[in-house]
Amino acid sequence: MRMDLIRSIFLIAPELIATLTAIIAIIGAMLMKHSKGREAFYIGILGMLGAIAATIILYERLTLNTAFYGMIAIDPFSLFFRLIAYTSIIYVLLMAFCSREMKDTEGKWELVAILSGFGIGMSMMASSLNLLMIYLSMELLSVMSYLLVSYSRGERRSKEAGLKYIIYGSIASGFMLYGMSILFGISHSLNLKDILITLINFHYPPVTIYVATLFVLAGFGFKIAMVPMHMWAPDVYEGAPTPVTALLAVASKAAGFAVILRFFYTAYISAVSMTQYYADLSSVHWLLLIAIISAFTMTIGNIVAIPQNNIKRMLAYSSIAHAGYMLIGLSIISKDAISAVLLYLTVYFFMNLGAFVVVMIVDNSLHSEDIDKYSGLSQVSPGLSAAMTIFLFSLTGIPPFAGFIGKVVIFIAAIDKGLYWLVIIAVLNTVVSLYYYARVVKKMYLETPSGNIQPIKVGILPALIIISLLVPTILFGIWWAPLQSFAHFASFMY
Amino acid sequence: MLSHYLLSWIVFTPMIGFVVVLLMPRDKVSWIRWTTVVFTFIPMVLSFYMYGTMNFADGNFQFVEKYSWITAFNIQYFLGVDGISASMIVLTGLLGFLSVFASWNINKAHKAYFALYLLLVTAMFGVFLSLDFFLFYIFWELMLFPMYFLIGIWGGPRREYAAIKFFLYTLAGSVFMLVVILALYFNSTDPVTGRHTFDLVTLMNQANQGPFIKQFGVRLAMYIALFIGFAIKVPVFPFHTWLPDAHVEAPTAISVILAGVLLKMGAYGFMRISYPLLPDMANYTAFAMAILGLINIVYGALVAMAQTDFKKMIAYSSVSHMGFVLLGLSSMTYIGFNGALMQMFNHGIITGMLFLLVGVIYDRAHHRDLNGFGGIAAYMPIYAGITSLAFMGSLGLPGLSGFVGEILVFLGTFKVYPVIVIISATGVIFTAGYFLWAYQRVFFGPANEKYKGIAEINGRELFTLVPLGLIALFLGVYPVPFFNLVSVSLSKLLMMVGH
Repeated sequence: MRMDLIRSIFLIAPELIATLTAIIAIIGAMLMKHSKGREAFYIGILGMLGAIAATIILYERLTLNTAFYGMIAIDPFSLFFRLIAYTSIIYVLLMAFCSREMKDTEGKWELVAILSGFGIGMSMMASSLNLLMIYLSMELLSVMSYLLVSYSRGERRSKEAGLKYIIYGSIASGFMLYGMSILFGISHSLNLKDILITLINFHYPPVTIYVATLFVLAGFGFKIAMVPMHMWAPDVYEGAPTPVTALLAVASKAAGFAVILRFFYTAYISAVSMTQYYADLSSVHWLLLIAIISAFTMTIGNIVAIPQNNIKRMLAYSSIAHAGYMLIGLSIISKDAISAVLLYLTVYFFMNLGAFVVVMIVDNSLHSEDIDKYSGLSQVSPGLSAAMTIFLFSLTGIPPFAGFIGKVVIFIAAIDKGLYWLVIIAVLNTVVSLYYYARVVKKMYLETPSGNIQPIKVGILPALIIISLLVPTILFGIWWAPLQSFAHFASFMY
Repeated sequence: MLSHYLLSWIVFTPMIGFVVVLLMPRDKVSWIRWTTVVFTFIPMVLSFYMYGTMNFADGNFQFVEKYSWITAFNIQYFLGVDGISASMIVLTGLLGFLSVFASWNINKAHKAYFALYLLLVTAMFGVFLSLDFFLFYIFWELMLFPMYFLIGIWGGPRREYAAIKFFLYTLAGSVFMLVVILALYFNSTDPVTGRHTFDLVTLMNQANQGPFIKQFGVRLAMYIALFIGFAIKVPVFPFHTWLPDAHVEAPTAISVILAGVLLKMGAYGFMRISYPLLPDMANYTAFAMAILGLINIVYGALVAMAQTDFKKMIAYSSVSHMGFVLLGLSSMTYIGFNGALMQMFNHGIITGMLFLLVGVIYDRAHHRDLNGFGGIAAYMPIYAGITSLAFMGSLGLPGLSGFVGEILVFLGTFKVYPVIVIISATGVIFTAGYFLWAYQRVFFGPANEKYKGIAEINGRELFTLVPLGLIALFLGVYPVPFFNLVSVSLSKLLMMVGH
């Protein structure tokens, strides 16, 4: 028993490092009240780098493992999401360095503490094998997100967004808990593996399973902004400081997908072998349910994005649409589907984060998120406009950019299982999405600036951030074999 | 050494130019121009070299380059050329080079213009040379965004509308192609490796296609999806509405590329992909294709006649001329196929000339209203002469290459669809009608005093026009070199579709 505990502690080393970072940040907040908070950033980035290093070390000496008596899984799948979690936090910290909204506010130390908590919550979400653990880690992530959204204390819309997020989030959690309680009720266990055994061996009326699935899915779907649980996204994305919006769009969504994949592939699908899966619940068409939700999510996201005038709102709807594309990967059961979703998440990480960085830089100078303000941007800052264009075309899914590969890999997985109708809806959505993405490009390149437009200063740090996101966005569009094999490896679940 | 990587050099030389142009300082306009000239001249010369060293009697793909690209999905970097694609490569090389000189008077953001132009040229070569369906799709889509900017930034007054319309139309067409590509992939097996494949040569062998895509309904759906993708590019009625907008708004050089090369890609898609991959469906829908060809010919000609904008008239004449290609393809005869491909080549040459000629007069008069000129022949005799050559070529005067293509299409198709050919032939009359009428309005009649001091066509413009004019004349008198190049490949294609 004790051996297991000691071993387990090593297996959660990245989270321990993140916890340590949070503790140091809290102490720092008490000791260095009057500092500007530059130290906090260094501590935060250092801590996250440490967590990443620990994750990579874990990767190298990895055996499929569980820790804490089967409570959490240590497998390539969870390590993949740890990498995403801690990397995105580094990016958010770097962005906060240069963001107008976050640079001069007080409470840098708190920011580091909150973000560390966010990272822990996310990596636990990806690792949990237990309903209670899933709930706790999701709440940890959620509470941290609420705080982050309302981080700009002076701004009214930031506070408003935070409040909205809490209300929507609590309702979603409530739904999820109810669904979980049904699952617990029928299986007398919180362990996902036990639930699987119960579901296979005892034939419950389909209605019970449907209700439980829908309710649980409602809670998870809230995190990924899945229709109809997407209502919060536009308001929150718009109100939150841009770095936080980026975090929600990239990391929080990834966490949601992690937990959905983990939940279904452990509790609803039995693994025949390492590469083959089998869905036992033949009476419950939950795959079709997800497929339908996916179709609605992408269509609604894309269509509502068209009339948006605020770029963050537009990107919010676009992120809803992307959740729809990724849900295609959940409506089929295969190893390729998991790796396709993981690949998509990686690609999405680069291109969406990139788009938000550009939005933040423009907002820093122009104090506006209005798409109309992008008019003629290419004339004053050609580099920034070119980067934004590449990110947006990549989000559309046009070759030779990485977004295209993400889509293709998902479509390949779906067509392998004969899901033609959903792929056709998805490709039609791609065309719809071109319209609003290209609208921003059109503003930047084809229109002349209204009035006198100031050149936008891009500092060295923001430029480096953009380049570090731009390179993978282009490179993975042309040569994605390494990404493919990485995603394939990361799709192994305990 | 060169012949091993010849095709890669053709495709990627403009790409190298793209990088070089991007690295240049933006105020060195003439450096940028001449770099572009060099990096389009090299692939043109290489394409001539390819023509010179090709074995015409061999119907198989030559200069093949085949490497694994993404092993997980068996995607290959697979280039190869046969008679059909070789003719298009020569055309692309030629127009890609000459259009640079038509871009001389681009007056803003030179660096971006020439960089995007080079990217576009790479994509065009890539489309004609790819033999892996996935690679083909990448190049096919890679054309879109340079074209979007080239029309959208350097175009005419309604450029924004035209650019996004072009982009949306073509993307809508090509996404369906993507679904078909993936469907084919999963229902194919490479007999050697046993894996799924994007290899077009393997997919052309019907034995490698799986049972699911052997079903009639599935095949028809796939054929229609591919058809829409290609038909939008050609453009086939009723998918042609983007074309007049794009052509009218695009700068001269881009109009040339659009008409000369991009439209050919649709027809090339039929020949390289739809027909060999789904030959039974090609036969099944041949009659519908003939009808669409007929509509294109007659409708395009009638609409062209109603235009008062010089450029728009030529745009609709393209719709009409591409109808001949469709008609030739629908015939499923050797003569018809030869005519269709000849027509594609000719249309590239002659319509390229026509757009260049419009550019010449537009640069001087700053409008394109056919009724706003009059008596121009008195001021610009050389220009009037060359224009008459291009007009005559386009309306199919014997002795110029346009005639050869059209007559072969009619001859080949007459055996199969006599009534359609008879009705289509009226299109030739309408074509003669609008060209002669336009010529009369612009060049004859009382000399318009307004254009008294108008400058005669200059050396740079002549340099772009004369080679094209000579080719049109030469192939009109002696088309044998062209048929030598394509006939074996076309008879192979004919065999694939079962005739």
